[in-house]
Amino acid sequence: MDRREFFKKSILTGVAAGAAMTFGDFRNVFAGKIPPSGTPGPFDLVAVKDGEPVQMFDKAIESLGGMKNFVKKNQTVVVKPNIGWDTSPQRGANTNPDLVKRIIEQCYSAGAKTVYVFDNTCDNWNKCYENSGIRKAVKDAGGKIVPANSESNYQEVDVKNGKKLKKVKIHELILSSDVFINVPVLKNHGSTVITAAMKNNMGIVWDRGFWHRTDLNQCIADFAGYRKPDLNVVDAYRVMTKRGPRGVSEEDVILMKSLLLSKEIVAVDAAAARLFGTEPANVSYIRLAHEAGLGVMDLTKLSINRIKM
Amino acid sequence: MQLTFLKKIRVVVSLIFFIVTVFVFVDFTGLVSIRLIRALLYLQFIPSFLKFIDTFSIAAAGFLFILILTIFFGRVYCSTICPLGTLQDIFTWVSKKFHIQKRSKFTKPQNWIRYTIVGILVLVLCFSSIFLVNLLDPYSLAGKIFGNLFRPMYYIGNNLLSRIFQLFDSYIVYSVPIKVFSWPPVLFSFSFLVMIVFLAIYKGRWYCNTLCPVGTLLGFFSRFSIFQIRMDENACTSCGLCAVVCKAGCIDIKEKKVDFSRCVACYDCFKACPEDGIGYRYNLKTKSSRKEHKEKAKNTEALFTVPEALRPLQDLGVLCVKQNKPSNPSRRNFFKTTILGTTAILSAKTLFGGNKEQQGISVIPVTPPGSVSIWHYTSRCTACHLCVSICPTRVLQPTLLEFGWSGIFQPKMNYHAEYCNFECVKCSEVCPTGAILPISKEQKSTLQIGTSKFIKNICIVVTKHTACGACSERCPTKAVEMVPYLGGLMIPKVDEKICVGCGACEFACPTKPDKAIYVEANPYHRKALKPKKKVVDKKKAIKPTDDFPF
Repeated sequence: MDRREFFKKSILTGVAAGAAMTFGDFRNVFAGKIPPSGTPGPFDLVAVKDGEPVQMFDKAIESLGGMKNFVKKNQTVVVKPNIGWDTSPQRGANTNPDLVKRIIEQCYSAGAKTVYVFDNTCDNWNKCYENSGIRKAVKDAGGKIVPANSESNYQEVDVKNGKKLKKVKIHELILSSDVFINVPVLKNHGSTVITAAMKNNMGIVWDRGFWHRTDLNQCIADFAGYRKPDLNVVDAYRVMTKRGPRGVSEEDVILMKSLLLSKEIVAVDAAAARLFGTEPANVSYIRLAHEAGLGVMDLTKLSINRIKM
Repeated sequence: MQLTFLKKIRVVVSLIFFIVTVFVFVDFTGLVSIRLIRALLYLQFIPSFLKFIDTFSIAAAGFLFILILTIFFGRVYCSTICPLGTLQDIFTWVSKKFHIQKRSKFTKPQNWIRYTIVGILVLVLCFSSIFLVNLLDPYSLAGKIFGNLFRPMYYIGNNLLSRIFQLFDSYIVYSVPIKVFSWPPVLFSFSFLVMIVFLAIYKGRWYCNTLCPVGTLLGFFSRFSIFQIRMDENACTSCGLCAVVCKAGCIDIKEKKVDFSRCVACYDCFKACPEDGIGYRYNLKTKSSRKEHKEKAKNTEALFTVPEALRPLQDLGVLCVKQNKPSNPSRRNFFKTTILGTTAILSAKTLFGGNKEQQGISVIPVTPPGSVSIWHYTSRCTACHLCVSICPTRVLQPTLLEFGWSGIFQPKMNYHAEYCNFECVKCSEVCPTGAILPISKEQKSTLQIGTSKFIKNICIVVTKHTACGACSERCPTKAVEMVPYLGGLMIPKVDEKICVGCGACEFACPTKPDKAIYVEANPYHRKALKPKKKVVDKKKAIKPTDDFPF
């Protein structure tokens, strides 16, 4: 039984499994119980506003029972930020380095054995790692920053139920690690409207050209059916509202001071779309993933913990 | 005076120069500072000379320093600074260690070839071309060997090491992709290396004393050197040990003469001589020697003799003086015809070859930022491939004949390999010849080396009716912007005025076989406008909300 199949079954039956890293927390959604915001309980999604990245993350993860719910002792973890661009943190093209640092620290506190950080970057990887401030952040937190520029580190896997994406070369650390934490930054994207969690997965595969050539939106949705991150943290502190995903200057960026946290990649992208001022259904890959039953984009059906700091 | 220590100094200095130069060419981590690279290459004769033509500054006067050094002590450059010289010495040394070839012997100078080559090069340079220079300059040849052969080998070693480190869960050593986009430069470098190794083993410094234009030029000047290596006729016992070790084959033991114009100042003979019979001698003619010379001249009964100082000019053919020895007309004609013939063939090929009818490819190759224009670039670049080696993204790749025959092997911006990093100016900082002149990051941000051209009818958005935007994603100035197309799709639109020609769009474009967006080179680099401010309707602008929008 693969992850996707398992997920489907949990939706259908509404029965949660007890094992770690399953989708047991969805129990409440399908039982129709939506806890009022602010109260502790099993949430599908946590949204935080008006804080600094580190504090917002701490608050959010706490409301999901802490990192220990996601990372067990001696597990290996991949933290995958967006490090795609050779730009400074102020430009909002890459994930906030302070946030990345905090996530790694939390993983180690939860007992993680090793925390790997990488991205198959667009610009020159060395410059991206350096100028995004993420290399330093990872080193400071004791994580391992891994170059992802060599095809030899990618392994081909089958994408079951993929409509357009049937096979994909994926980074070996994603396959070998116990936990996968996806840490995208919310941005405008010239052709897919926004980029957040699902699109950030393009940084763990080798041949993105194929995706662009073969129906970009469908490929993004297809991949979400192959491997879902165990946790998604959407950095919406600095948000590039135009000329994305690279941006031209700081002028493209606004301070939104928000953060989203969820196990559920479609839901978190739907909430990100709302933050961006657009309907989730306007973002093709969110709609496609929703239609394929890979997740829920209807935010009214989720239990959301809304925290204002 | 025993000067044997000079050899030790020479060996140490040459090895330092050689090892650092090789490392600069193979390193991919940027460990060597730009200042050190510049200092190292400051003394490379032809690059420095070419840079001096443009700048006339002391910052490019390394070749003058070499000339002064030569005027004092002869061709010191050839055995210390020249990387090709040291490369040959290493192989000569190895061959002697393994007893492949133990003895050198005196050879006759090939002055005709030597001065013809230099003459042609001077002429070619006067016509602002670089023809043959990029095939004969010893530094550039060594650069091609280091960059095209040593570098990939270094990468292979590094990548193996990286794999081993990864087995132990360490990512300190990262792998570097080895991609060859043009094989001829590699094959050329390999063939040349094989040739030079063979020559070094069996003929010593044959290349340096026959084909090398720097060797010839410095050889010419070393005829007037203040200190010259000579044999002491009284001390010499004609044992011949010096001639046996002489890589240049310039010691004539029978005549007890050293052809100092071919001496590469390696000082091996100093060490070999058991009698102190060979060494530097002060070269100022005493009265007696002049008298002797006059008598000799009388004896030869020439109509008139060329003064000693003008001898080299005579060799060059500048001075036409009737000599006693008849020249060899058949040999002369042979050279004339071969040279003229090859030149004609080469220029014809330049005119009629190399045109492509492929879609999505620039008519002329794109030259790197700082190279001013294709004419400036092609007339200065000696194809040492240092920029190729040092470029962090690997967008600079050697070509074969895309710049024509005179620009053989010169690198171009290959946007199928990579694209130019928006904030990087490394190639302009290291280029030793001034083909790529130094520019600042600020200057580069609005320097237009070409402009993007969009071929709409082969774009994914049009042909497959699916979203793409790969080109616009990477555009650093948003000269390529996505604008609404049919059915909610977005399609690229190019604003050439703000395009810098970095090639990010061309590299990212996923269409096959031809790219739907490509950079057309600017023959003269221009200034691009600064990226415009994007004005968004205030009502539509995204603002942080007071409450959660869900």
